[in-house]
Amino acid sequence: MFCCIVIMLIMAFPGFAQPGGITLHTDDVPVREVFDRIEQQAGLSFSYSTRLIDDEMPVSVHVDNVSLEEAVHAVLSDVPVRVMIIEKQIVLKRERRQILSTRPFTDPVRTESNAYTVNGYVRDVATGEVLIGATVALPDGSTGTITNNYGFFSLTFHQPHDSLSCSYIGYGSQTTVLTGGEQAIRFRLRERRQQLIEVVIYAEDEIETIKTSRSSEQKLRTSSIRKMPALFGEKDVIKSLAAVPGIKFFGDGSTIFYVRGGSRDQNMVTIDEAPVYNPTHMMGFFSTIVPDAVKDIKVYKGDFPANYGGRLSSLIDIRTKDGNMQQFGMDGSFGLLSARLTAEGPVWKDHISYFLSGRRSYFLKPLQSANENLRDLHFADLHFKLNYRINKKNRIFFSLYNSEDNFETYTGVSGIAGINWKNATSTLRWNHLFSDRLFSNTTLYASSYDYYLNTNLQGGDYWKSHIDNFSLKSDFTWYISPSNTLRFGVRIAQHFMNPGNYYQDHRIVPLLSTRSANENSLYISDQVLLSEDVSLRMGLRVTAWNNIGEAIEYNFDGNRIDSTHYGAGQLYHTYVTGDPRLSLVWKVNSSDLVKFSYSRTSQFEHLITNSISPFSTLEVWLPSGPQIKPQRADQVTAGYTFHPGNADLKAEAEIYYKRMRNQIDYRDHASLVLNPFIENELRFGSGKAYGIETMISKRKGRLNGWLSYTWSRSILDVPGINQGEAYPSYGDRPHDLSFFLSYQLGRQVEVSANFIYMTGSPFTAPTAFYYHDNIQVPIYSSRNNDRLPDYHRLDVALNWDLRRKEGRFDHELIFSIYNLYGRKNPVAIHFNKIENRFGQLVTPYNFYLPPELTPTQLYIYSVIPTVSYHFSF
Amino acid sequence: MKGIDTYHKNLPGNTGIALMLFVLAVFSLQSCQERIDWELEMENELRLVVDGKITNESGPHEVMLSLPVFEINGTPRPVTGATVFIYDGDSTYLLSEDTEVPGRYLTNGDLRGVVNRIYSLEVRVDTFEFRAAARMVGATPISYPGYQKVSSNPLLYEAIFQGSDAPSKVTLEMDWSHLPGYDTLPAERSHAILYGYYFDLFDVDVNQLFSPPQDRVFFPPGTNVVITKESLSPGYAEYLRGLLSETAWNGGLFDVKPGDPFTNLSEGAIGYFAATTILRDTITFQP
Repeated sequence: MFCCIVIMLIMAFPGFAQPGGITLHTDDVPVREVFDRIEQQAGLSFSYSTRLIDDEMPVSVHVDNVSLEEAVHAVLSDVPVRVMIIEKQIVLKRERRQILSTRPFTDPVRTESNAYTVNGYVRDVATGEVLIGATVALPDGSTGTITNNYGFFSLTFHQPHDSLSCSYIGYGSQTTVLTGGEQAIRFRLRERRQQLIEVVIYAEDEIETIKTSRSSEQKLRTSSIRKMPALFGEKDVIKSLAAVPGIKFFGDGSTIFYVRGGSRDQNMVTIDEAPVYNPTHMMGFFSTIVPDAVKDIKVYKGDFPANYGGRLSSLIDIRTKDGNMQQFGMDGSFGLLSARLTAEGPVWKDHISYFLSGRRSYFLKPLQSANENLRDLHFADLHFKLNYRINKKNRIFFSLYNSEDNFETYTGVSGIAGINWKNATSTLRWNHLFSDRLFSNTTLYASSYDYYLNTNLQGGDYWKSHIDNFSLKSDFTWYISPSNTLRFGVRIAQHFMNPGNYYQDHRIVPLLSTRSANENSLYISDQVLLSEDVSLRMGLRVTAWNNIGEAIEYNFDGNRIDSTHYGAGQLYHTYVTGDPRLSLVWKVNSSDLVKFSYSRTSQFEHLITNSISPFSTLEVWLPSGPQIKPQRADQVTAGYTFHPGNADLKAEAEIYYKRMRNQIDYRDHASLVLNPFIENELRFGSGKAYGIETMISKRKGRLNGWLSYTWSRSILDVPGINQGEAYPSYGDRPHDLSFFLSYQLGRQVEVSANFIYMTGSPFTAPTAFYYHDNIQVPIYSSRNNDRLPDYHRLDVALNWDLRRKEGRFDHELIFSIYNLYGRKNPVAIHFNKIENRFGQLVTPYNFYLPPELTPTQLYIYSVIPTVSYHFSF
Repeated sequence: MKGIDTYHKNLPGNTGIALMLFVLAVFSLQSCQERIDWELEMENELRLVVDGKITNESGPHEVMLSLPVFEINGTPRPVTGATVFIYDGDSTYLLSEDTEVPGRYLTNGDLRGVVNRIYSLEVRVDTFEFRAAARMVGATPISYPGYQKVSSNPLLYEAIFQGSDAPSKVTLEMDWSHLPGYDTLPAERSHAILYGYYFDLFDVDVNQLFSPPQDRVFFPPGTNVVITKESLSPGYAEYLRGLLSETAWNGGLFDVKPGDPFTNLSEGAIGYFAATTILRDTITFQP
């Protein structure tokens, strides 16, 4: 440490004399704003501890053409600081640091008596937005942590340390002085706006440590999603997940995705912790999440944190922005189909901020001009968040999210018919710091999803399904020591589901019983550093799922169906599951990291659909109960990461094996709409998925991007399906290759390219035909016995930054071409069409003679060029 | 269930479906369906195909036996030399093979179906035996189709199956070959056989609601139309619903997982043996 300090001093000395000529004339301006002006004049950035310097303190300074040191001392006339320049940073340290540096740092005694804790938050200096997943560590990287979902960190040391560093990709790092005692620190990082652009996917931090590393977890940044080529210029948070190895999309025109062989309902998308049951617009063409509103996205495919439960295959954890605490700002964009607008700013500077973001489509009029029967077609989203920093120990967030799709058409028979679906979530969170080491978050949230199939809009006749939940959860993080972090919590939730009923004149025609359940969960997780090189994380999540009346449950015994009626509030069925989680990270050396994990997950809510359409169809959800057991999965992973300390390149590989039980499939031509005996249409079995995911990424530099390849398989084995033989699931697409490359041509222009290749999806093709009344009927021998042609596509984009060097107004034009070489990627192959005398491919109607059928393919996109405009200030 | 009838009547609104397809096409700019060459991997598994029916009419009633075809648009091979029985609970009837149409087996004319009676079919082919049973259900009065002018040619009309009904299948056998101007056309351009289906509430399926565009048949006034209505037992309705899922409803917005249609035949045979009440009417269409 002493050597480090000496080196730092040596480095500091020659740099110190360079800057000069600082001129300042300010009155009652906060210190940080004065520092901003010094930074602009000196071309350097400040690094200091807010513990040492209260940068909100107003000061008056009047100096002309003085040296940097003189300028700083003029600003901090009452604070004894030492000014050093280290790697283009103006580092401010307490004068007595010299004394501290001579303290014997070799004290090996680790006792609570000399332990001290430093904690605090990491924020963006410009917006006050907390930064999730920022690394806070000693400069040598030996001890560190990452900020949690609320930007909070806590570190306890048993030895004196000189300084603490904070880094976050895309931001300049900051180092602060440690006093050697209890200390609250506020890191305020500055975004490197003019600097090199990072890629969409990135690791948890720049210096991967055994403490911060986790198997099967990846993060996406919305600032970078903006740079990806997008369909119609609609930047899509969900579709950007295609960049994540192990996540496979259905195909063009769809936001349905599969993770490591799981079915589509095994993925949970949450916004500020509340689940969104159908995050799609326009039946799947676009996702519902407005990219401008998103601060952070974490994707878990395995090694699930113990505080997570409820889905088998993945968690897409989306956190929305808190709102700018410092100043008002706006952000917006215009594309071919929709416009987005965002406003944020302080209500009470540094205490209360708001964030409001909306999007609405505007393609109705052009469509109406082409088809007069169209009455309405639009989608819209709204995100709202209020953020109140009460004091250092308490903070409250309130967020709302709504999305809607509406389609209405004149039918000529009953007037108006159409489809409508809505997602809504609301979250109230309270962060509380019980002590320097005990952080808590309590969340009250609700989410709902409604699907309407309107048959007569004026008469109030419609089919409707519904699912909602109301939950209260508390999560605690106890930073016992740098080598031991304990997390625990509890969640209680109420669930309600209407699996689809018909309403006439807004009154229900009761055919299907609605379902209610409560879910109570407890979890505990402990992360222990077994040595400097090995981290062990152990966790357990226990859930009790209770079905509650009023409900009618049917028992199926061959052809006999018995029904049981349960009264309101009557608890009639219970499942208790225990889901252990275990992971180990071993840092072999400075560049190699090995990871192992095991996790068990349980799922109690099930999407009931036998659709193979790329579009989101009538959505029906059912809970686990007497007829439907919880889905369970056990997954083991082993990963290897090669990441030389300061190198740009990083290589990762991970193998996984997942065994799934109580998987749901359906009897042939299952009747799932308005069928009271819907459970009788289900078939249950098991599944397995395994594969290897690899990725090489270059995260910095003018040229950056990644290349990933995944080989995987996903097999289902469901008695009663496919003559009892195992068969590939729809997500079984063995080869998956993708790359994203971005090149900064200059200050203003960046070009990027995105390529995806996947083995074609399996589908069930006929193996023979027979005739009935001259109708040619296919015969199937096995399920998913054939494959669609391989999927591949190349997209390119050019981002032209129109921003001037000075000023806040930031705007850019984005040109993109989706599917550059016009690949026709089929989403379905059919064998039931004829070409009629008008040249149309239609199903036959006249069976006077056997119609001459022809195979057909349905593809969604060819070449799609787009231009869009984005601005912010 | 009146509301349900309304639901059933309105949901498959062609206007709405066509519009949704239009919207999707607009979104995808060039969203397209096109012919392709696709090599199906046919499995030459010999399964007996049965298409048999007992009706309330005097007969003869027929049972067709054939083998699957292993290429699209292939010609089915009849199964000859089989022994076919029908048992109505009292008597057993031996069907005789039609000498003119191979694979066609006919009753002798003394069998007439009765509502609520169960009929059993037994087919023996070589050493294999296949069985099926069907209960005959009654029929409600015929729901006559509607007719509407073709917008592009007001001299022509097209039939529309509309309204709601008990589970039934309606067949329109149309012939306008006797009309001037049509008498020289090939038979397939002056004749049509159209099918319309009515199912009850529990048989509503997603792909039915959003089925793909179907061909249209136009005909002139003066067309002779034989309307036949068949009642559907639950099993027969399920069979037809599966059949439609694989044919007329397949390829729309919301396809469902494919599978063989339900059958009441044993031992892996496919097709259906139905007992159905039939009502007929013959009209000459005049607008």
